[in-house]
Amino acid sequence: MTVFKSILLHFWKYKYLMLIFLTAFFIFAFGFSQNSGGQAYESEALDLKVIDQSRSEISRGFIDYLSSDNTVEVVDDSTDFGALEEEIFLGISDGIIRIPSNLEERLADAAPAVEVISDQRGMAHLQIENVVNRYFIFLDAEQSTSSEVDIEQMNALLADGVPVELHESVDVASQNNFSYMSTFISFAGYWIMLFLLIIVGNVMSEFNTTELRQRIDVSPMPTRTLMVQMISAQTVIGLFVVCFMLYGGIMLRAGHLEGIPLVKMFVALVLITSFTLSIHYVIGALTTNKFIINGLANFLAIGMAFMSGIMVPLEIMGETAQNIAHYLPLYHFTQIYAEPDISWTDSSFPILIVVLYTAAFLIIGMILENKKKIAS
Amino acid sequence: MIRMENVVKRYNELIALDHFSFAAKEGEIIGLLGPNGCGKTTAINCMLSLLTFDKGEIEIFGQQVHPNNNAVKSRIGIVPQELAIFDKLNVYENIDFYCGLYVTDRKKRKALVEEAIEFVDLGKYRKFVPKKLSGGLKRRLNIACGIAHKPALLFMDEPTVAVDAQSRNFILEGIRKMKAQGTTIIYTTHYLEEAEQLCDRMVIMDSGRNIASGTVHELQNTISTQERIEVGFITEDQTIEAQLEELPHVVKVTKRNGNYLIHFEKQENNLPDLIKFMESRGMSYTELSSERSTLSDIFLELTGKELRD
Ligand SMILES: Nc1ncnc2c1ncn2[C@@H]1O[C@H](COP(=O)(O)OP(=O)(O)O)[C@@H](O)[C@H]1O
Ligand SMILES: [Mg+2]
Repeated sequence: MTVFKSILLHFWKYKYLMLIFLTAFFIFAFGFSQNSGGQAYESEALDLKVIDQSRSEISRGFIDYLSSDNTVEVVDDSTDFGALEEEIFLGISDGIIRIPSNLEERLADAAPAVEVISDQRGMAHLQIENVVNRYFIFLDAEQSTSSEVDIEQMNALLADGVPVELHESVDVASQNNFSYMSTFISFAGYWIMLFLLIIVGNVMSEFNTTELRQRIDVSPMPTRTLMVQMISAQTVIGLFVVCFMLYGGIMLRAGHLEGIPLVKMFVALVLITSFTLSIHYVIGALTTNKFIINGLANFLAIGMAFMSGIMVPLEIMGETAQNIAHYLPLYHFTQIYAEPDISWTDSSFPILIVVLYTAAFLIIGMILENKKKIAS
Repeated sequence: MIRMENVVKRYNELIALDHFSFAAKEGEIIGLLGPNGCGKTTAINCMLSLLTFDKGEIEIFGQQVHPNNNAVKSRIGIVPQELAIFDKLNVYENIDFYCGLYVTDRKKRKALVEEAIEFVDLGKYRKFVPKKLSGGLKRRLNIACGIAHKPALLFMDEPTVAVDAQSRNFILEGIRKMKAQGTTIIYTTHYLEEAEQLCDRMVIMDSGRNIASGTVHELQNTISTQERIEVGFITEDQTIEAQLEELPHVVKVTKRNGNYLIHFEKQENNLPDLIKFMESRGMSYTELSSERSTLSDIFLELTGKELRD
């Protein structure tokens, strides 16, 4: 038996654990797909908190407009922003809209007019964006045709249901598809990390014990052949898991795949797999203790998933947390497929970051391995 | 076949091999003998180039050892002291894995693995994982993993530690069979009788040094208290010990189980001399037995230490 085959055989001996892992994943994923409201999304009245720093005619008109269909509470500028974010986290409110004091300038510059903070994973987020965009697109149109805008009249028109062509990116159906799938992939990324760190960790720890490694070292098998076989076996397992999960996601959402950057998602999953294997390489060079390996796997995977916006939306976490997130590979993993129509140029930066992380860990692992060898 | 010369291996402060030299010829079983911690495993690991050493030279098959010398490595087999078997693989798979590191041809390997299984008599257990095997059977599996590829040179590091008597005899028998097939074997142990029964030549080690080597017979001749005679007398007499010490060539007289143990210098006629002496003094004895010095005596003599099993 070759080393390659023996590693696969080891994985096979963990087949029940693997099955449980994958089943648990799809149970969660199926749960999501039920929650996300399926195909038809009905807009509902939102609970919104508005901070009006502009206090202009436009902002008052905007608040009136929002109030017509939603429950809007205008909160004071001095209100604790953290507490407001917490309300989103707890599901008490759907979002915060901050109207900056330089609203008019921003409109003139075609900069984003207002700041919207909401749970990006929920459908409410899409609805808020939709509603907000509608208003400002309309306003923009009005302003470009007549220099004087009668806000009241405009609101009346909007309330009557003037059709407004929305930008493609806020097409609700495909946004909905995308929103579900990107949550699915982010979750899959986290799950793959946890899964590979535990399973690969357990399997490879057997190969890394001193007795077995020495026994293999005295054989005529060249180190390079050994490494190649070990890496290819792990790659096969990693690819299998990636394909299984992505295929599962596609099956779950068959027919609702429009506007989803599937190839980029695949690339992202492959990269997070390589990254995970490189972390494992470092852990494996440090210890063969399964207890430590499993502990570290949980700690790293859950910690990173939490800090990278997979478990909890980053928008509602503190600034520090957001800053930290930008240094974590899992965050960049989610950025590879951040938009439905993201271009390869935009994806290339996060791709590069994840690749660099992988390379960095591989180098650290090699240094540790070498140190171990010299120590004898 | 193996030449190891003045090898020094340090672990920080500790000197594990202190100018250790030894040589092995083709087809021999050489015993590396010594108490725990004397450097047997270290010596083997240096020969296998698992360890680097500070000084000296090691040649195997006439070539310098080197971690990348795969031609030499492919002719070597090792049965390590610590079990090196995969917990998750069964008996057959374990042997197949190790054999696979040496033999890439599938068909050939299958035959070799079968042969190894038969050799250690694990046929009934081929589908068992190590967890389900007793200590002795695990040792046998460990051996099978080391010999399946039919090495010309085999290192066995304490293969019988913690093994029941039955498995031990089985293992020793197997080693003799391998020698008969022409394998050169380096065998380490701290069990003296085992070495005495099995090895053509022995190297006695203490604190990383080669303190004596040769066949059992040669070793027996290297030390002075070669012969001991045990005598039991009918009557207990305070003067007996003093009388016995008058005999020529006696080194010392000690008591053992109520009998007297007379240590003689090596000499042809110790026993007849003793009998004549006792008759002339009218000492009537109940039992008389002569014993040649064992390896244990030799070890004690050479190191001043008791080698305990
Ligand atoms: N990796 C190591 N680091 C430090 N000391 C070691 C190491 N391995 C062995 N030793 C020491 O070297 C000496 C020889 O050990 P070893 O060769 O294992 O003896 P043996 O096999 O004869 O029982 C012992 O004193 C042991 O404690
Ligand atoms: Mg030892």
